[in-house]
Amino acid sequence: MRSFKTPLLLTVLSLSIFVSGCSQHFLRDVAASSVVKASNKYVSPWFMASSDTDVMCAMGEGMSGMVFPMGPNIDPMIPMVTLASGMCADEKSKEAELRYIRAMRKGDASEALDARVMQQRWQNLAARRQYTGYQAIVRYFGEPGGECPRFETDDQELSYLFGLLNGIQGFQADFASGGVAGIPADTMPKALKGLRCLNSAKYWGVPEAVDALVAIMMAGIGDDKEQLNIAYARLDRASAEGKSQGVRMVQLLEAILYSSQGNITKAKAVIRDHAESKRQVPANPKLKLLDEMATRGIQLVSDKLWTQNTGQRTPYNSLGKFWDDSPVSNAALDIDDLL
Amino acid sequence: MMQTFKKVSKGLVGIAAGVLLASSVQAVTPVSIKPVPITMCAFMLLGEAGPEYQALIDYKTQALGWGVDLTLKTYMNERVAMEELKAGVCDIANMTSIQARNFNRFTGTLDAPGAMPTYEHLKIVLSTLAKPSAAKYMRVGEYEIIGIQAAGAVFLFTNDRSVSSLAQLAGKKMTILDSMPEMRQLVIDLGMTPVSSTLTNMFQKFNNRAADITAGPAIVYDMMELEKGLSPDGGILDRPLVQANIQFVARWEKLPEGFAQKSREFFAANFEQSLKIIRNAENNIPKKWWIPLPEKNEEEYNSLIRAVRLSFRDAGIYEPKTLTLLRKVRCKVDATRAECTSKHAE
Repeated sequence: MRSFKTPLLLTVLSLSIFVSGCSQHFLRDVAASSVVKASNKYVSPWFMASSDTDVMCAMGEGMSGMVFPMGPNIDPMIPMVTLASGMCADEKSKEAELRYIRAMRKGDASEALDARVMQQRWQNLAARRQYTGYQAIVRYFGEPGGECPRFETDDQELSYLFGLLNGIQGFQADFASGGVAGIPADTMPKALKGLRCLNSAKYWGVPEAVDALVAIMMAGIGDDKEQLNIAYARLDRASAEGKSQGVRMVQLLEAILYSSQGNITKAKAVIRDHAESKRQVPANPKLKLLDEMATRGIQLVSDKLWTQNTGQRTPYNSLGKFWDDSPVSNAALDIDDLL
Repeated sequence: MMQTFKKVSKGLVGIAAGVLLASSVQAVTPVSIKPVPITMCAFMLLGEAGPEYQALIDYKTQALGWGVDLTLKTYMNERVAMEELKAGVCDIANMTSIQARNFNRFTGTLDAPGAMPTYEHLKIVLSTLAKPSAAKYMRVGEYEIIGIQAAGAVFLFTNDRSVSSLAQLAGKKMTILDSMPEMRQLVIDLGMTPVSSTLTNMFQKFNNRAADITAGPAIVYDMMELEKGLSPDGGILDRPLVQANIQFVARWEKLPEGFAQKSREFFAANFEQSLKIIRNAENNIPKKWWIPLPEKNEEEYNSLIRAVRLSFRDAGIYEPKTLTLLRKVRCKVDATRAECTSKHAE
């Protein structure tokens, strides 16, 4: 009998560990599924309809610790969280960049260098947060690039879109800042293929715009004018789609593109057009948050241009106006013609 | 091969250049005198979205400490940046060594094929050229090279793993960039058939078997999904054909005293950082794809690639002194190379 005691004890112990382990995961997974369902039904619609991007930013950072440990069932929710938390870190990076520009204008090299360090630290954090969102959709939907996933709901499809955008943003931010976060270079082509699984018009032109941006980059490097024209036409079409739907994320992509090309004239034109479009076409009431995120990003592009040229960011309530605009309205007449 | 790369590289260089890293952890020395305003025609393949921009921002910050208030004017086409420098639109421009050769043949020979087999060689060369004793080779006429940045090794990708020497390339079809006519000649010289391409379709042609061989820095493996073209029986020759590099050319009379030397030392000091993305990309390629050069083919490889260098030298494209310098560095790293005792060494 004695010889059986140890194995029996071990078996009972193993079983209890197994069962308790199962129940732990079971509880976690049920909880995760419930959170996702509740989020899709109540939280997400509220957020998407909100225009307070600061709340979204805080939500992204604050909820990460609650969401990430919840196991595989929570994965569809992660891209929205990281889209928000990545945006926070990215904005802090851009804030440091403005400080850098101001320091350089004053000839304060030490302050400028310090600002650069902070800019790079935040950019690195943004890249890592964004990549986390991409990894979540890879786990949940499989690696993009193969067969397109079958989405059970629009929420899943939106999660997939956000995850792919996270991947592209994360890779780009890391690549631009020296690859310190080590985000693999194949993230980009895979995410682009994933985007082709989505109906561009349904998503405000964003999938086509991202594809067109990459085509512009490649055609630009190769000095391939024909391809360049085709790609710009696609970008214009995608932008018009976003404007007509009141979700102007493509305009943000355009502003970033032209600004990064050093094409200030076109960057200004997009910013003006965005400001005008906001007056003409109200934001989609269910997706105000995305439209506001675009405006916020465009404002950052505008702030950089303003700071480079004047040392201060875009004046209050003046998005779409520039330092070198004529102070007098075009409607003004010559007084000599009147008197 | 290197050359192939090089040539292929106008675009590739783009990507390789993209590999340039943001850098600079050096402290900036404050200056009390008013900095000299200088405009730089800044060639950035990906514009401000790429790593070159971040590296240039660090350079701009350092330059302030050396007494220059640098304004960066963005160019996504290096040829235009070069022309603008000549036209006086700016007083500094950065460009690949192919273009820099127009200003300084000595440094413009650094991309000679097969001349620097490893990054160790490259580091020795770039450090040597950054020393004050090398300054006399940096200035030619009104221009001076004020910095050289590593942009990554260019490798040959082949769909036939049995290719393990340059001679075996004969008869293969290789992608070439239409925008680089010299590349066509190079490919023909190596006995291959050029496949006319643009950067947009060059790697697609390799992936869909319209070409047997293409060339590029390691990062194109992931970015352009070259696994498709390599599968099932291809590989990447593990000898860099060319060490792509970016050179900073300046109108020296416009710069404050001492600026050029500090600038050269800055780039040399940031060598490792500028290689980070490049090394990551090379390390991320699965080991199974790399094709080692068999020892028995070593001599043949060296001899063929040397012949290419010499033909470019004899055509007046490469500077003999640079080829000698590069040969001496190779011999310093490995004194057993046959060329180290040859009477007809470069």
